[in-house]
Amino acid sequence: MQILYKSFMENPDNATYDGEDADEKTLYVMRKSFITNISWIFQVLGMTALPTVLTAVMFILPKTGFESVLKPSLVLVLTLFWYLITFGYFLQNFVNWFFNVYIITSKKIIDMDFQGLLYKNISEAPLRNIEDVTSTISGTANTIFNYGSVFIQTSAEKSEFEFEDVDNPSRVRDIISDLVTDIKTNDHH
Amino acid sequence: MTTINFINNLLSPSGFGTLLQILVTVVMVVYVFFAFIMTRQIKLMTNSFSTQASPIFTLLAQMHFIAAIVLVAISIILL
Repeated sequence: MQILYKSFMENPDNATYDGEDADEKTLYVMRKSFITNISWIFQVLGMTALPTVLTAVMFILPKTGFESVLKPSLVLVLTLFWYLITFGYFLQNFVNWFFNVYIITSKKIIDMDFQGLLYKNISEAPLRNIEDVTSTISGTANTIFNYGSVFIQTSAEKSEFEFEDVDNPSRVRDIISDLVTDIKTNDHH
Repeated sequence: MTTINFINNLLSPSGFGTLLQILVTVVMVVYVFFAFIMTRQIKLMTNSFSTQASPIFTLLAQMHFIAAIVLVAISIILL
């Protein structure tokens, strides 16, 4: 299922957002580049390996008597709890990446922002209100892996949208510019 | 004397182990609330942006929550 790992999707199947109009079509769904997940992925791998490493270390080190405190039942519970925390950490980070999306439809752009457990912010602006689109790639990793930010200036109440760390920001800028041009041309006709 | 004996038992290796297990159980109960909040958060997210993968995340969050409850139960039984 490509939607689980792709950070740029064109005409995604069965992807809808809350507030979508009946005559509106989702054209593009974007997320931060998958490369931005590397940090927490390595943390999860480290957390997964930690119980094994600790067991090996305790086996090697000379006995101190502290081992008598660690009953087998306690060690079992602690290990299982550690793996549960690791899974929770993985799930929290993955859903934050998966659901923080930038959507371009036939009518508007939408920025969905979920942070932590209790913060949700959804901003949208009609395509016809977009005045200026700029793309930026800055930094070594960004340049190597071709991801960066797209800044969208609008005449709406929220004057600037930022599509942060998206893959191929030049292409995204071009897509939005073309859509805006088309919609404004159609308005004039 | 009973109180002193209780404190002495608690500070012995086996008593300290039991105290540690109680503390771990308390922390796990708190974690159950975090796991529950995560199920609510994922429900909010899937309602806001719905895809083919939404049921997978809902299932994972619920499994995570149930696993947290089961682990608390195991911890209490093993106390």
